[in-house]
Amino acid sequence: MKEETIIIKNELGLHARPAAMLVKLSTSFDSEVELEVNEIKVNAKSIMGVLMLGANQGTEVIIRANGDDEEQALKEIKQLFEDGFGEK
Amino acid sequence: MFEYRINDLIEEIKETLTLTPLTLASAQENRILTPELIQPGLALAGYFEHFYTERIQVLSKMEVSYLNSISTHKLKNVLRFFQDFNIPCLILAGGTVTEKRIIRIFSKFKISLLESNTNLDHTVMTLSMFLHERFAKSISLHGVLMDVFGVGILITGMSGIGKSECALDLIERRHRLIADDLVIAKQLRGTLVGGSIDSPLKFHLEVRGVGIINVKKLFGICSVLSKKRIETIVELVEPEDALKEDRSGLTQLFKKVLDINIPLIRLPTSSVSNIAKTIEVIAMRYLGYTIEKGKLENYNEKLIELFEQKDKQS
Repeated sequence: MKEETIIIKNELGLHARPAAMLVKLSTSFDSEVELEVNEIKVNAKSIMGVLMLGANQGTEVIIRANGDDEEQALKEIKQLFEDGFGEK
Repeated sequence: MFEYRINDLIEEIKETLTLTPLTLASAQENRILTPELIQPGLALAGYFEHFYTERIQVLSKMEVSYLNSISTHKLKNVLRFFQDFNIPCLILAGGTVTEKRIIRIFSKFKISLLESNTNLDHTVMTLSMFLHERFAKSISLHGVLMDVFGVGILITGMSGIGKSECALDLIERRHRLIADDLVIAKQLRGTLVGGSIDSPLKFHLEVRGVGIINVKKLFGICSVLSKKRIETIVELVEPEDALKEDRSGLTQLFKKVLDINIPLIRLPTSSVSNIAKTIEVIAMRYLGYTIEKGKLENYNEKLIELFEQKDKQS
């Protein structure tokens, strides 16, 4: 299992569009991917959970990946957050 | 460990109990570390054996009349002890009359003093229930929590296996949704109680191909429920994973969540045409089990009994 902590950069936070991008990317890996905000853990492959985190700009998010492709999964998901989901 | 302060308590409990601060606002910044309460009683008279200093202290008429009766000098001596102990706050039960002098001294010692709007019994009961729930161990679970014939059923399984579709089937059959995807479970008085977190997506459900639907709006208020005891976990599994399962139905599996063992049923997704109907049967069987307060009906015992009778005859 690998994990990384990131801070949400884009202004609007983890709203529907970024959440959908994140779920799509997470689903492309075999590893289990989990997000954690304020001790609440959700499956990153499921949009409801990701949206219910209510993670706005500046929120600290722990990303965990567990499985054969965990390294690649974590790298790409982290990058997506770093890029602010292509938003400002 | 989350930080919980007197101010948070006053704000969160206000619908069921009004707590009015009588002393300095700064004292309301004190942290509450435990849900347990205590009545200080003898501690006020200077006896501190078995005195739980980390607890909120609730004062009844007896304690208040004692405080009213002692001299300012004596009261200050008692409060000096209280100050050293870092007590979160003292709460005066409703109906008690405190002299202004006493409130002033509490203020001076920066000890948080609150007044409740109801009697001792109600104050203690409401506070205790509220704080135990607030401090309960909790965990976030991935699954859909449904109330099926009054039985709390948590549907789990890999993403994409059809949990939400199954929930939609159950909602259409007049069962109730508590939470989709993210269930917050709390351990309360030996049971596990599940609910949703506060979110604009509360009572919504993701339906593949359609998107996120507002269940409360589409199906009405009777289609949702704010919290429910989790009584059975139904794990949806791929049919090939279910092949190795025991088919007799006589072994009961359990899954431990926090400190509680919850009955677990592993349900293969394709062996039944309609998973919702099977889940209804699971709920009915659970009701039979709890209402009759016995074991699950064991057909095998009857079968063996029959074999024995046959043996005797032959």
